[in-house]
Amino acid sequence: MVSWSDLEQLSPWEWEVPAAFRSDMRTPAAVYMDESLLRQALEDRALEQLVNTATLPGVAGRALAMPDMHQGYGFPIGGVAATRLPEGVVSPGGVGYDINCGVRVLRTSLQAKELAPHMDSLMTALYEAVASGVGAKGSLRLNTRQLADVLHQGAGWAVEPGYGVPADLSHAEDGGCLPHADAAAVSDRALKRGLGQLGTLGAGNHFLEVDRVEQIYDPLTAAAFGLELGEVVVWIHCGSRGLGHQVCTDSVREMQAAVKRYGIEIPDRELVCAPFESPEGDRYYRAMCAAANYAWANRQVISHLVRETFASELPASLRTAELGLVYDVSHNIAKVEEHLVDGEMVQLCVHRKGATRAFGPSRSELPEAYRSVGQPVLIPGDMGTGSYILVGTDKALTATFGSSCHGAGRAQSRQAVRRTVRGADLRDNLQARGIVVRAGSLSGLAEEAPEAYKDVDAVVEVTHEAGLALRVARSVPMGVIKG
Amino acid sequence: MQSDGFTELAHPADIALRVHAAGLSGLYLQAARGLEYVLGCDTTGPLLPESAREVIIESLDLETLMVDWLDELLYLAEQDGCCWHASDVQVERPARLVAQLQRFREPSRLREIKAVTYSGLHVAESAEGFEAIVVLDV
Repeated sequence: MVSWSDLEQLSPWEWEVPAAFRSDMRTPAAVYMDESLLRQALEDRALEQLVNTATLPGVAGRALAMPDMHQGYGFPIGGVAATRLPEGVVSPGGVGYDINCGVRVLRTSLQAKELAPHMDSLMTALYEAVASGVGAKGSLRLNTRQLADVLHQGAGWAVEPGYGVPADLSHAEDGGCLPHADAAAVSDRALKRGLGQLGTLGAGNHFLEVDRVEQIYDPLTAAAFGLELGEVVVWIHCGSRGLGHQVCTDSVREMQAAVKRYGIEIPDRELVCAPFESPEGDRYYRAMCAAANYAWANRQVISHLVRETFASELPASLRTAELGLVYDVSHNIAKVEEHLVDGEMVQLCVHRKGATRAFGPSRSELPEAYRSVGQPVLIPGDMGTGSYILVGTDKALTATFGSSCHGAGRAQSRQAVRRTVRGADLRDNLQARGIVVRAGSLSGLAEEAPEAYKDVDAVVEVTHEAGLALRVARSVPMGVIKG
Repeated sequence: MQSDGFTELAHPADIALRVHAAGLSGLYLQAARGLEYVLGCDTTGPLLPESAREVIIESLDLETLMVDWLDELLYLAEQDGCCWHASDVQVERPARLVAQLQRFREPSRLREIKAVTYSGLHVAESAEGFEAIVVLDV
């Protein structure tokens, strides 16, 4: 276990476990936290898991933890590790089971006070329109050929027949599509799981929220993102559903034998990996890209359902608003990117598991609209507190391979929360505060109670002060849908 | 000697189970019971005898067999929208499992479990039989 005395403080927001801490570490492990968050992180195995990622073959720079880090499986949640290509490895445990779990925000041009009288009926209609819960089936039933197209085209597959507008694609990370996707690398079982789940939210911590922009910190950047004080925005948080889970399961299983074959020593079986260019590594990457594309198409179809619902449920006087996409980010993904390492621009496989890309204005990958300011970084909090829209920085590029936090991060186990929170009480409390709640499962709602999470304000404070991403706006919930 | 069973362990984000049994086959049966509990299966209702099916799994080792077995049950639950109940499980070394399953008559509103992980995975003989630790990704 890593203890307080093993950490060297580099700044008020940055701590490091030196590579000498454990003989199998290939590089130091760095943590971006303040003292309070770090003390919380030391209560579980998150730092040990971070140190484990510093043992991966080909790891470049430092293994990194974002301010919302907590214990996960394999990598910690909030972990970032880059491996140098072509010799480095790719690890499905560095992405997680929910491949391209991510967030998108739609702006509405509606003021919260205009929408408030209609929130009850709107949330009911959204809950009916967007299927949620376990094994939920969407209104779209794909055949196998259509599914293959989804896996190759991502969000573009949905925009072409009208489930969105072209501007949606230019406002999504990677245009909502990774180019190396290959449906042939996806198992039959994964494909079967994907046939009926497009346009579904799922359960667990996934949600759909209608929020009000409560605070603007940086008016110029907020204007570039199209955000106004008091405006209603819609947050959508979900991923690649059963298809993505199965892709990860298949690869973790296949690589159990591969690590032995390649002579790779790993401290945790969930950290299995394979050289990026090996047959196993290549197959995983192509399948992961396909699952990532499914997730982008999923959030695109849900956006369409949200737009339809706003158009059909609101009175005519409020229907003029176009729900434009602010941005769509992935926070569970591995991508091939170029970064500066030891003064040299190199190609890396950057694993972000519970971490958000936070590129500053210097990167050509950004959409034209954001190239002068940096990309929006979308950080959902808990359902009772609020969420943040930040902007990526060039400092993050040198410090964290252009990465920042992804949320508040869990502070309490599900078991502990279930002991102290009743779902019905939580729903009533939120409703008493004016937050309309629609949930498929009250016990599931209880597990996602605000007290289960760290203080998102503290997480964002560290992110901002460390310069990984800067505060632009904060929104607070008016309505929440949980699967 | 302790009776066969399972307990939920604290885990910061996901759900961990400690499973114990006098015999190896019992360990995998109890792991299935633990999964039923985590999924929130309504196990009070009757089973559908006509739904009986056999599952056969061969794996790399006993730990992988535990992951594969519970993954199979998760997959069936998601596909069918209901819980499958293991009435009999036989495990042979090095890592082969044969199980008899039946569906519950009534569908259950299930908790979503994304996957069975290898994180902290442990299947071993203990002083009182066999023990396993399994972490489920929620």
